[in-house]
Amino acid sequence: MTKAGDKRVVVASWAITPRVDSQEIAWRELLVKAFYEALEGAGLGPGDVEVGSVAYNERTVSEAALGTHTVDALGLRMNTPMIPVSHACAGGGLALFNVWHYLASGQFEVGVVLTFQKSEVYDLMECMNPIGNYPDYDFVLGFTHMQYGFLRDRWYMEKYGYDLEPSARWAHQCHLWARQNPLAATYGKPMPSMEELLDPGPEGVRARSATHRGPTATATVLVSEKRAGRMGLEPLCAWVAFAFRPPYIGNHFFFAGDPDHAGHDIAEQPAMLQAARKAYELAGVAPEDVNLVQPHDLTGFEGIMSLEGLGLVPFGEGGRFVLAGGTGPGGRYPACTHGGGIAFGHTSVGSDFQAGFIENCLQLTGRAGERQVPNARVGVVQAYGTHHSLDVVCVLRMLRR
Amino acid sequence: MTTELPVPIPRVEIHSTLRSAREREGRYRLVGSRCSSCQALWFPRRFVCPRCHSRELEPYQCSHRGTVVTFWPDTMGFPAIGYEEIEDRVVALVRLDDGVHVITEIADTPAGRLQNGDRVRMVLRRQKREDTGNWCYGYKFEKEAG
Repeated sequence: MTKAGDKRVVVASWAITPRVDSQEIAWRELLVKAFYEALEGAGLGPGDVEVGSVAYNERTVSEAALGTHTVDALGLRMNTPMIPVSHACAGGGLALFNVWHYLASGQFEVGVVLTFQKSEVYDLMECMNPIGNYPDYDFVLGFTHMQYGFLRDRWYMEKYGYDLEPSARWAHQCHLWARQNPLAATYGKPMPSMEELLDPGPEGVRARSATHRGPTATATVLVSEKRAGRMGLEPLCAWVAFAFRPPYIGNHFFFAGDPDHAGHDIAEQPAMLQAARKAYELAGVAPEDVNLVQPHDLTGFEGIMSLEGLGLVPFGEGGRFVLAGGTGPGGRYPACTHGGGIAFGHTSVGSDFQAGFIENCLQLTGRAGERQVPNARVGVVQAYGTHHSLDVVCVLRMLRR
Repeated sequence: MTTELPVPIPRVEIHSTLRSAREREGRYRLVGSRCSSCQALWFPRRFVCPRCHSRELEPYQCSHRGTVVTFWPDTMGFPAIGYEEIEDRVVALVRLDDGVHVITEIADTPAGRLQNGDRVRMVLRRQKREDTGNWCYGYKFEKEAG
């Protein structure tokens, strides 16, 4: 493990709301709940917050200029910069990227990363899926996000010689982790059987996919290293990077517009690889230093492909790694220890990135309870937006005092 | 009587006739772009070449023949809006003979009669209704005989 970069930002506190199904609750109410819980965790007040970024899905609320609505709703000083970000499920990672840079610039000491998914206009399913990535073609010609995902899974299986078992094993392990996480959507619910998870029909496809949805909000308070020292915080530091891939799915085959993408097809994630390399470099770590990982798994094979995209496992080997127990307790890279998209739940920008981020914070501070990974010091979280048109990767590292 | 508000009816995306019409060459004839400088081919059309950054691009009609890379029988129960009534809809990724890749529906061929590597050709078919009631048209592919 090498020395981390000079610019350091410390995670002071975090909060995530439980999923709520009630239509009585407005997005402002969810956001206020998460924000004030996180502030309390950091021992700060709203007047301490100097800058923020809020991630949302522009299809789910009617308000334009969401920064001003957020500052107003949270009762912040009206001169608080609040940058809205809308980039589908990975939006929370971009909001983190924004706030990280504001703090690392030295201009600000306390920032907040906010995310919410509360569908006031479209419901959660309709807000993204039927539109496709490239509406001029995909919406008109009837191609959806689900079709992209299943085509990619199928090509991964065919290219690398897998049956459904790795995906089913991934889902099974996620469910096992989620039964130890009271915040997970499937906590306390019966475990699906391997027989159910291996079903090749539609029910099996659903069982291996992220079908547990619901509105949530999160808040994460970040502080500069200087401020963290004054607050006596543990040196839990975050570094984040992201990269794009063309939105049109046909261009996920040997895209000539970027040399790093030219050799890859849809079964591989070159943007994730680019983002991961940068995040590792900033954090001063290598893939072999990673103790646990929270990839974005809207299907089992997507989680597996993410292990490869993060450089933890060679391309095509992720399935065999999972079958060998590499992502479970005691495995080389325990993965989705909060339950992942499949069993924790899929809330898009609400918490798909932040749930993994918060899980890593709990793990690295030794507060993950029954699912604690022993001696974890480096955790990775990854999320994608609009089918890997954007991949964001964050390294969390508990530095030595 | 419940005190909860009802679950809202989702709004359907408003995609204008004008916007659809702008891309008709792409949807009707698979017209993308060719970079006049480096000759790279692009689909959908572009206004700058991401490889050499030339802004000199010309319309290029992609090959209407290709090979199935992989396909998916859309059996999940969440069909695309406007495509709910097509039974056994098959969606595929196709590599055209000039190397361009497209996502497409494979028309008139159940998944059971399709396999990777099958040769396919473009056909112009009716797609879905716009919100104005007009029918959209665009490409699909069908399996070549023999």
